[in-house]
Amino acid sequence: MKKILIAITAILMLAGCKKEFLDATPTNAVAEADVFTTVANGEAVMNGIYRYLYSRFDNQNTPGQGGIMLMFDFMGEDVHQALASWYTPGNGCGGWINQKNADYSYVAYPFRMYYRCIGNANSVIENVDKLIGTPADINRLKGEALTMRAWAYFNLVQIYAKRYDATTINSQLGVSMPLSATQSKLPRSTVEEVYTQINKDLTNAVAAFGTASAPRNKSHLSLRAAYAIWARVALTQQKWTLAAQYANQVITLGGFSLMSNVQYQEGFNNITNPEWIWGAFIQDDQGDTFGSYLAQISYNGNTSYIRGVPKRINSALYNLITATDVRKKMWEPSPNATNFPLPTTAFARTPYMSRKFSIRNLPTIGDVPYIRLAEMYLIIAEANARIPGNEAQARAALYTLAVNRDPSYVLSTNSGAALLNEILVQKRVEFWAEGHRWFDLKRMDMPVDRTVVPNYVPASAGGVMQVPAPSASNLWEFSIPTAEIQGNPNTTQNN
Amino acid sequence: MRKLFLLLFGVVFFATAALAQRTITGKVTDDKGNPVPNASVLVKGTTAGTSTKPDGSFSLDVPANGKVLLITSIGFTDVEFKLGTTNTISVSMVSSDTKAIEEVVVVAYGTQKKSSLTGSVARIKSDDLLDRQVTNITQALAGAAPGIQATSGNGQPGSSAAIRIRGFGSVNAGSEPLYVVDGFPYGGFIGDINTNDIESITLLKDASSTALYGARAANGAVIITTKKGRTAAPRVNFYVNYGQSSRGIGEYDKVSTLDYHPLIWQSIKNGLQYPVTGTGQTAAVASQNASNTVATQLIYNPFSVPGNQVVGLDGKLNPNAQLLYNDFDWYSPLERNGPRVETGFSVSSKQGKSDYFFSLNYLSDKGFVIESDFQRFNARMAINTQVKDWLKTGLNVTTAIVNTNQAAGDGSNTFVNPFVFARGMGPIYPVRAFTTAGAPIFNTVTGEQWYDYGLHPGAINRPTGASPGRHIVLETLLNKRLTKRNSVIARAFIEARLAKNLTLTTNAGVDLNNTRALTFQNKVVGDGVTPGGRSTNSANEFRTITLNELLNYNKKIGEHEFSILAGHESTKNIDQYLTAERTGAIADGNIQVGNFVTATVANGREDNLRREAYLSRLNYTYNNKFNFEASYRTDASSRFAPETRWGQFYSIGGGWVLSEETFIKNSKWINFLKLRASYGSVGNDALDTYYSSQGLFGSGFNNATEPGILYTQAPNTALTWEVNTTKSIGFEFGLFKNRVSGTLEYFNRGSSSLLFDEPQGLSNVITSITKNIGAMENKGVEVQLDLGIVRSKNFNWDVQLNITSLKNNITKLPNNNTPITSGTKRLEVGEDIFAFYLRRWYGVDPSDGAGLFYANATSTTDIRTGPKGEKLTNNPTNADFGYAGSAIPKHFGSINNTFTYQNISINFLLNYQVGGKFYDGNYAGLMAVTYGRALHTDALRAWKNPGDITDIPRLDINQTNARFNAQSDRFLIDASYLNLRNVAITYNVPKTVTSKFGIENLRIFVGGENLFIVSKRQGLNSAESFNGTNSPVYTPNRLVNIGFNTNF
Repeated sequence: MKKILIAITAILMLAGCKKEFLDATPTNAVAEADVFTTVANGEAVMNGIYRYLYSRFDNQNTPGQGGIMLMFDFMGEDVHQALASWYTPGNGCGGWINQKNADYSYVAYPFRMYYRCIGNANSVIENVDKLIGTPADINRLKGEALTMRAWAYFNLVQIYAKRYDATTINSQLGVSMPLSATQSKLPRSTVEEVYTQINKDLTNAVAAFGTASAPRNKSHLSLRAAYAIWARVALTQQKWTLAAQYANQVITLGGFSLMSNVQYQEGFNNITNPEWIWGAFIQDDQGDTFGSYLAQISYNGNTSYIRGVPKRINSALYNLITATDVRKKMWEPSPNATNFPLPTTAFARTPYMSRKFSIRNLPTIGDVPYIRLAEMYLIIAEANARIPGNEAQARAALYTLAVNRDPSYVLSTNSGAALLNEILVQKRVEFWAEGHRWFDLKRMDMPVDRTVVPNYVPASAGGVMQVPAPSASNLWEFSIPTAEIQGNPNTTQNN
Repeated sequence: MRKLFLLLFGVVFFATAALAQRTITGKVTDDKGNPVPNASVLVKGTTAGTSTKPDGSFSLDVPANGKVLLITSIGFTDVEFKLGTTNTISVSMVSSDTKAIEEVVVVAYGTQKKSSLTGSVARIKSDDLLDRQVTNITQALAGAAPGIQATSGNGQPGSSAAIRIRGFGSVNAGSEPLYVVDGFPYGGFIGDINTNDIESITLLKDASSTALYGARAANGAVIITTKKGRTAAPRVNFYVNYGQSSRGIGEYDKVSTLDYHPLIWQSIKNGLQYPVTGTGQTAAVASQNASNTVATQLIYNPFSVPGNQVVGLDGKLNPNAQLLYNDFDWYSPLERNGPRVETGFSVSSKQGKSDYFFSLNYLSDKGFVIESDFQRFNARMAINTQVKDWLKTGLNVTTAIVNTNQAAGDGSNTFVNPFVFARGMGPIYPVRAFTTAGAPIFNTVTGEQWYDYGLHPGAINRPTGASPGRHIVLETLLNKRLTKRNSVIARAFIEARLAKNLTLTTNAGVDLNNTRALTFQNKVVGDGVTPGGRSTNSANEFRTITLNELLNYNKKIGEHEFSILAGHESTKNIDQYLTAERTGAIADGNIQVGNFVTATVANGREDNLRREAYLSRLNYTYNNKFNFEASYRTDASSRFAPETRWGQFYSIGGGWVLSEETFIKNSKWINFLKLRASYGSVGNDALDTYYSSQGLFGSGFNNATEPGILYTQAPNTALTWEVNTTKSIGFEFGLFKNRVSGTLEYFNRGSSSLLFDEPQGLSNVITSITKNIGAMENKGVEVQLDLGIVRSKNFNWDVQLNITSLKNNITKLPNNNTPITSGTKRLEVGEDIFAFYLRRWYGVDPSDGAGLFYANATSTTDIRTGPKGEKLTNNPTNADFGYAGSAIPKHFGSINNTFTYQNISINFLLNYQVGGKFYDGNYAGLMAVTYGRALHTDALRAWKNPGDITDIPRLDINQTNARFNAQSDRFLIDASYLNLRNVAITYNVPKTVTSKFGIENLRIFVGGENLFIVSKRQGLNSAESFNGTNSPVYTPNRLVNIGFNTNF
């Protein structure tokens, strides 16, 4: 007995464990090698990017792309609030100080978010041709990934570099431009190089979409979305004819229509709205109660930020809206319990507060509009207004949109600067809190002037009421985040 | 027939035994000659026995076959007395305390005589723990030995203190020591262990002592050994402790109700007078506007005058203003005197070839914050038996059932954290609801006054800095944060003697932890209002299964003693997690997930971690004079790829007992002197993730209803063990009849191939890849002194001191030594791991009260020139950064004092730290100016008028937070502190009294934990963290305690 026992234990001891004993794999991740095998798997990566665009980055007021839209609108003069809170000096860049602080988390936020989209899109682009699937599905996936990369670089180059100026050679530093998963730690390309790549990707994307299967839903980038983004790019490059042409292409391709006045008052929270070209499509179990777009900007989500800090419109801008315009109903100059009911008594009211956005489902669930058809009319209008001799086309495009919002709108008789200004006012009203204002100001080389906003509270923006135009100030180029400087020795900091 | 035979046999046996019996009388004394009453005297191998009388004498009938008397008493080493021919004997017992230097110490995979150790080992005995009323054993480790640093932990009952042994081993992998319970790395919660079951704690500090734990002991090891049966006579131990917890560190000094309006007035006026862009208003206009604005911005007005008249144009509180109510203390409704009750008993014995120990323990520890408590039931059973002369086996099982309510004082900046909410609440906002006229608002149904939570009748909203629509008291009362845990710690062994000096031991250890956490958010106020109540339930099952087989060979040839150990060990950790969340409560009062309508979260995963090792050790001793030890271990971890997962670790150590040499042996004053030195390496694989070497796309990124994944981790198949190499040299000494004893030791602990998250830059798809890059060292000196200052018949005074001085130094970093800045710190070669790197604060501009920083070289805007030509700026973006000291103290340690007068002893333990810096973020938060938010009293010293010389910049609603209060070295403070960690006053009831009741001994005591903490600022707990930053955590508690402990 004794000997047997000893023998058994001795054998156990010498044998050790089986080799596989030391192999462990996760259950909440997929091995890299298993991903790029089928189109369905490649598509999962693309879907991961779309989901990432509505995931919280870090703080509650950083809900992916929606948070960036708000962060940049708070740097302008049309979207503001009565108090220092989210998006103001302590928690955003509304005070125009922290965008130059390389350590600041809100400086890293757009940088990292767009590069993460690019990195994943790069791996799709690199592998898409070897995936198993139909050519139509492969082309759809390729088109989506290329459009995503173009869109992300377009945002990055606007935020982290000097503006594109069509009158000069744009040799100023743009952003580092890895185009495959193996490229990293690259020096910054020039702004011109980045725009060249963006245009190239969009050209290829449009070609791929040309023979692709139909998009799954509007959370996916599509041929029309690619043209819409291209129109924005061309407008920013001051290529007016191309801008109008691409925007026109979106309208001609069809599938979308301007929303009715009833739909306009439904809260901008539903991707099924006929005007939405691209947006976040958020299920009830994919919300982030305090960290969603609508947890910041809706009037009725029950969060401390919404309850205590209503978002307000520039009152001067509000006064430019005609009384018959449906958009006049989006804000309330003197809210009270009757004309502005709120979910509970714990919600504050403040003059010129917004009700444009509301939650679709409790607690703060709702979709996020990234691109709407209305923008295409405004791009056509602006581009034509800037092309000598095309003002008639400009007025016509503007009319289509404006009369939809205000049935008593009559065709504009403005021309020159007045016409351009009318178009821009329409855009500011139409896209309030949808992330356009800062980019428009930078593209047009215009200053921020909050002193002309009667209801602007200086304390909500650290007292900063005026910012010089981009050509006169380096405040418009966000710092390159410290984490990039530390990890990429080849990059260069903005001054 | 059979019965008859039996009867006959019995009679014959009895007669023989009776005939052969003799009576032994004797006296038992201690080493000073004092009688030892109530000692157990037992004839070995029989049940015949008695106990000594108060004068130490006994008389016992001993059968003829009785050859040996076994004499045992608590506090003394057991004595086996061989009977000779004489019938009157005297026995001297040696106190188990005074034999400190000869004690046996639990080390890796075995025990060793302390004198023969070659490594650096510290020991805490169960007697030392008797005085400590700690719920979690880690709380007792602070100051227990030199080289040990501990955070003060927090006041949440049951919470652990973080421990560091000899500095900081890693940057990105864990720096916590390895906890070993009864021979196996422990896979459970330290707080689940009943401190009364602990026989000893050994701290292994250097590579020589830890190398055998190879893989995982890079940061030292804490070896916990539980009790087993030792005395022949069954012994019962019974104890009851009762205590009360209260807040151990006071609140920061905050401005009062009467000061608040004038300060906010100042900040509004200054904002108008000194705008960032454009021209400011005149002082007179700004003052008028401020008087009006202060009322509308603060919203609440608890004074008897209209809001716009609360502050006059002179900036002072209106002299006619009277308070309408006084209900501004948000802490008091949240606090209580939390009772702590602990009781339990154990029964143990060693009878013949078997020993047993079993115990039960009940502990209920309620925190000083309402709805925070910790309740634990422990049961333990340990049995060891010598089955055959060659076979021994044993089983040791502990079970714990824990129920705890956790206050949300985890340091996160949330409304439900009492320390965020109550600390930040402006002093003009009442806890309960009042009308603007100052009348209480009552709930017409219950008749109670409403809490002012924003949804009650007549509610008005507090401003944004005062947490509008939220109410910490009501939310704490209505919400639940429950954790229930069932744990099993089981250890079993079979030891077979294969040959004369060769044994084979197979050990099995299992740690099981099943934790259920239930979080409920009520639908009345707070986060649960919107969804109509929310319940989140998560289940975590964590299993650790370890098996080892050890071969031991011992041989003594003359003066040469060898022992050789060889073994194999494998460990499996299985971590399973399942969570579900639903919203929309159905029936009130039921907080389980099933009682909610909409499913919002359902998630689960399983993770596995496996390790395997082969180990060996050689010990050699010559003539009790020279000791040599060498070990080798090879370890594999599933965290690494197959090619790189095996690591090799080794150690050598030597000891020379100089006092055994003749040239010292005859010294009158040197009783013991040993020189020892060791060198060795240990590994570390304590990464946050289980699969660091693999390239992975993470799931959980579904887009609407379509599956989605995202690239989350780049592969690194070259990743392998982080290596820690320690050199250690030290003296152990005992002088003047061991009145002065201690150790003096130098160590150099270097980490190489550090597991380091190498930054890839944010433009890479993966922002960091864990690599073996970087190196760091910790050098230090440790001194331990045990002084028997007074030794007399009735009075003893003993002092134990320990001091550690430590320097950390980074020697290599990734990306060609590119410094890495993060938060308040920067990692750079030549600096230490906790070096502060911050904006350089200059001071306050007397002309306008602006806060000024030193400007960096390149900036050209917002520049001011200081009186000595310094380039300064009021724009933090243009500020210069620089090193501003380190969070690592100059030295730290503890002083343990014991006075013993006859049966009374008074013991107190002080922990201290001298030097080091602390970034007081809690204080910085109280210097921010936000409508409704509390202010530190330092705000009263703020700049007010041109020419004022002060160190606090003007209060400015626009610029204080955006500019002046930007993170800078202004908020650093000296981290020195002194903590009266423990006081115990003990009375040992004389044995002459206890023996009358059949009690062996009775110990009655009063004492306390954390009785005071002094730091450089009221409210600051500079022992909160090692890295010198704080967060709003549950403040440490103070415990006052009374209890007794008895053996019979």
